[in-house]
Amino acid sequence: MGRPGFGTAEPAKPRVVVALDRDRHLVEAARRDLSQFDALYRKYLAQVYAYALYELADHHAAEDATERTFLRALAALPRFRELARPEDGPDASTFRVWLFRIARNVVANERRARRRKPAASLDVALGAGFAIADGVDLEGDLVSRDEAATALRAVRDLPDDRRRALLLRFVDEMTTAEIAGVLGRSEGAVRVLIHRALGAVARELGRDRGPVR
Amino acid sequence: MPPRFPPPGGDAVDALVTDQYLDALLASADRRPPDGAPDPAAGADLRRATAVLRASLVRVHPSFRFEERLAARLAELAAGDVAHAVAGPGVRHGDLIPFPGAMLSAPSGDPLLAAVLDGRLDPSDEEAVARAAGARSPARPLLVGGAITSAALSLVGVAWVAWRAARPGGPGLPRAAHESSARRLAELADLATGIHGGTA
Repeated sequence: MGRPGFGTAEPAKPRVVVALDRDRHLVEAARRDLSQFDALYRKYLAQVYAYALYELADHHAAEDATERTFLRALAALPRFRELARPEDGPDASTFRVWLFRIARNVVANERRARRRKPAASLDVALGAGFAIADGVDLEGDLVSRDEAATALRAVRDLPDDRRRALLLRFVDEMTTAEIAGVLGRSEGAVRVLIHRALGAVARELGRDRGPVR
Repeated sequence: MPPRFPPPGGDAVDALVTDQYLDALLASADRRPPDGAPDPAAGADLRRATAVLRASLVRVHPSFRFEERLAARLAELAAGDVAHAVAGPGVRHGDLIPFPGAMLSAPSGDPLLAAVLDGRLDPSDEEAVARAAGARSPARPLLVGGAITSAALSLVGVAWVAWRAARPGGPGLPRAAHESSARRLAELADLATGIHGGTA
């Protein structure tokens, strides 16, 4: 995924953008009339908010982060440039990648500011709205509340880059290419991050179940 | 450019298999598994972890009230009402706008938004944002800084006086005063010795 640009240092490549960015029409409309940014905001609000909520485990902090993300995005929109490669595919959205890069920076600042405070407990996270149903039937199995809590605890304890990659994959259902664009890593590196993160969650779930008799 | 395959074995291949499994799983709009048997190459533990995460990591929507409030702020920013949008919802039309520095550091405001607005900060640049946020981190309270400074100055003053008192000589009046003081100290010492000697 080509990284979205900023400023006017490099010339834009509109021919590529036309073919690749599924948000192009919305972005162009918002550029012509900033009030049209509302459509992009409504489209991505839940994704940005959910990402911030899982990262910060606090409703209010997630709302603050979401607000800052969209205000900064709107403020910087006139200088946003779309750059993508043909291999990024027809579903590539450089606007979404750019928006999530802004969200990632907002969340990272918030997490840095919190490091002096005790980490939010899982109970707080669960109370904040981590929607774990009492029993979710999936793939014919029953995912218990305990299993879900163990998995969320394992996600919370992951190193930053693995946790971010996993959240973007599961919560925001991004492709590996999009996550690579958000995190500034190669697609191969993102695949390995997610694979290792899943391995860590699987180990925690196995430990929670105990040895098989 | 031809596709480059990862070396056989190791994390890269396993990661590719996992990635393909997740692609197939997440592609289904209703978050249900794709038709057919799950890919056995992904491993039972990994498939279980994936299933639990899919059930647990649901996308949460913010409250309607928050959505509309933020939509209103974005509309204000889009309409050019920058001061209101930057300062936060506490500021209303007709209010006195405080000094810009105080306004931007208000809890409801974003201290970096002004820099983004005038093009000095790229909000998608991780390093630039971290630098800007670090530069705007709260300064140490002036009172504490002042107390430390006065304490340091006091210590320097004490050290200087002690050094001057211990110094054997100096030009002019200070030297005369030093000699006079030394003489008086010697006389007092003799007197004390005499007193103690007399009583002993």
